[in-house]
Amino acid sequence: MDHSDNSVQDPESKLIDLAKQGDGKAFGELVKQFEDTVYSFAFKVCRDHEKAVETAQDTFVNVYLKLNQFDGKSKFSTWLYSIVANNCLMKRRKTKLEESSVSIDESSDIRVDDLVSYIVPWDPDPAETLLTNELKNVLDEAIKKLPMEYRVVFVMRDVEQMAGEEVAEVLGLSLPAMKSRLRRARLFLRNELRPYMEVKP
Amino acid sequence: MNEHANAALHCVDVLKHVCGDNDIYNDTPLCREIRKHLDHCPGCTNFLQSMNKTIELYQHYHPNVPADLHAKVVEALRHRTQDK
Repeated sequence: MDHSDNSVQDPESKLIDLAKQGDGKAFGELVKQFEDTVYSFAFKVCRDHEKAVETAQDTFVNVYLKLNQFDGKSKFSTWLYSIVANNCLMKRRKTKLEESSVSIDESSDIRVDDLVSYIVPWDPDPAETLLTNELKNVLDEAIKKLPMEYRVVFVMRDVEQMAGEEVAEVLGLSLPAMKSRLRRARLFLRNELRPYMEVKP
Repeated sequence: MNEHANAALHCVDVLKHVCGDNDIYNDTPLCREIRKHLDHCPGCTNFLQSMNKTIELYQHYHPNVPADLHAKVVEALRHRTQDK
């Protein structure tokens, strides 16, 4: 990318270019601008404060070491998300975080026999009023049961609302494979929350 | 299975579509059929509402960022990049 005309560069690209040239102050600004985003995304995937801090540390060390590989073709935040996602996946492999996660396969997909149980409506109150500490624990525990590959897809696509094509590209998946993981993750989480959310007769 | 199991579009097809990251508001014959099905099928409508609520709850759950996060990131950068 030709950034020779600095007058038309947006402030973020300018910071990135300066950081690439070894400007420590510019790199520090990038850290300040994106550390909350990186931490929040890591927490939403790991559901553990300590692991989210470690992931944020690993991510910015990776950014420092690999910033010259960022070519500006994608958004900087997308590039960051891909590093965080890889760090979460690697951490899982190293520490066997997923010993308690469930197996998500075809059997967890929609079955016609289940449809009768779908009839009960859920609490229609807005999410903000429903989010008690108890429900937050339920949300944490439910997503922790999902294998990391499914969690990352769900958080990127549904929670962070990234485009489906972008999620597939960042994770090196085909679009149908991304959709398949998303469908199973949504179904699994929905079924985990069902006992807490159904309106009692 | 509910009364729409024998209709042109089965509940299971509708649910696979709505769970699979597909927009039901597109102007295609399939999406029109899905919307028609949802208009008359309380089971699928409740299921769709519960799926959307699941996503909404996770979207609204924002973690508190620790006050010492910046210091910890800077410390990691100092220790792990000093010779690079």
